[in-house]
Amino acid sequence: MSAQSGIVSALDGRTRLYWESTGTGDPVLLIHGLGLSGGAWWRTVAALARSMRVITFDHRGIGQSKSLTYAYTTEAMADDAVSILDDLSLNRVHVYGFSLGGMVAQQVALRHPARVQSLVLGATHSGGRRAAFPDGEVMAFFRRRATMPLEEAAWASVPYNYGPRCRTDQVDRIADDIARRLANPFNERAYRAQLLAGSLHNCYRRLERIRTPTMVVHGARDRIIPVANAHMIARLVPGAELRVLEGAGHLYPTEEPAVDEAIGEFFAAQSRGRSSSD
Amino acid sequence: MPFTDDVLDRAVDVVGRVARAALIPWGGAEACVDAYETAIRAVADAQLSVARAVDVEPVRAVIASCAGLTRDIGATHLSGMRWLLDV
Repeated sequence: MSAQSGIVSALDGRTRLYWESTGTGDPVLLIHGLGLSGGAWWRTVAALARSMRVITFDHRGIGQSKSLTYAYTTEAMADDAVSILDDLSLNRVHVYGFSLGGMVAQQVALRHPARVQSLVLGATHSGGRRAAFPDGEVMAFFRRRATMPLEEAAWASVPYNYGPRCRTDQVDRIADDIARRLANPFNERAYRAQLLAGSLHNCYRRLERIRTPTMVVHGARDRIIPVANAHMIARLVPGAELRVLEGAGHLYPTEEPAVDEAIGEFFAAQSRGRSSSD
Repeated sequence: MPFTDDVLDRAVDVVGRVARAALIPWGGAEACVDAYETAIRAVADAQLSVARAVDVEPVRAVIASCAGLTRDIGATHLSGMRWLLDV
């Protein structure tokens, strides 16, 4: 599989965004979740890059990307994502956002609708007063997590990140995830800034303005972002397709590898639909 | 973050209702918030255009940073307003 990488420099002179591109075919931009680098998509990249050009990147302040400040919003992160498309001369792409990345993907679809061919929103919420938030125990853990040693934090997150079935039957896959995560440096300030960005995120009333074909994917046993959010998003985005994964927790790509194939098929169907209408 | 305190929740509702009523003469809360968003984006885009046109560092970096600040402060206002006004 052919792979390239590069860095986009923003005009502010300090913000730098690292991206990677794997495979050939219709382009898809993957936007990852809280505190993780683009490398966290390794399972999905392997599945989608068989037939697509898959672009991943590190959010500002994370991995190999740098930021001018440690205060930002999902709007800023969406503009960052589009600056990578500009750098790669990609006019229109499929977009798949996961968790915090799903919030950023909503902003990309709302702020730059012409750039999005189709949209997958995984394990995410709309923000606003009507979003379903996790229980107090989960919120307390996430505040505590930023101060824990990296490896301890990664293992302590397991009961929140994965469904009960995965925690008993797929321990080796969880260990693979954690090994990958630990291989990347963790930036506590960027993590806190992303938590703030997620807290400020609010697209609830505007989701009905999204005209892009959309698929919503969520684990039924997600403790971090309750599945009620997926039902809400699917109801608000016109024509959205909802796929709830029974028994899966927040990090469903680890628990349900088949979902990446289904997402690839969704993107392929949208590409076919577009070429037949052109 | 959800407001778990019922009293605070009710207070936010009342303030939101009053603010929505006050904005009716200007086309309603949603139209006002949308107009504010459009204005913020226009200002940030204009600042970025100026930054692109300026070839002198660090002037270019300062103007580009101002554009980012305008966008992010505006986004924070918008998030709060949308929460309060429920639009």
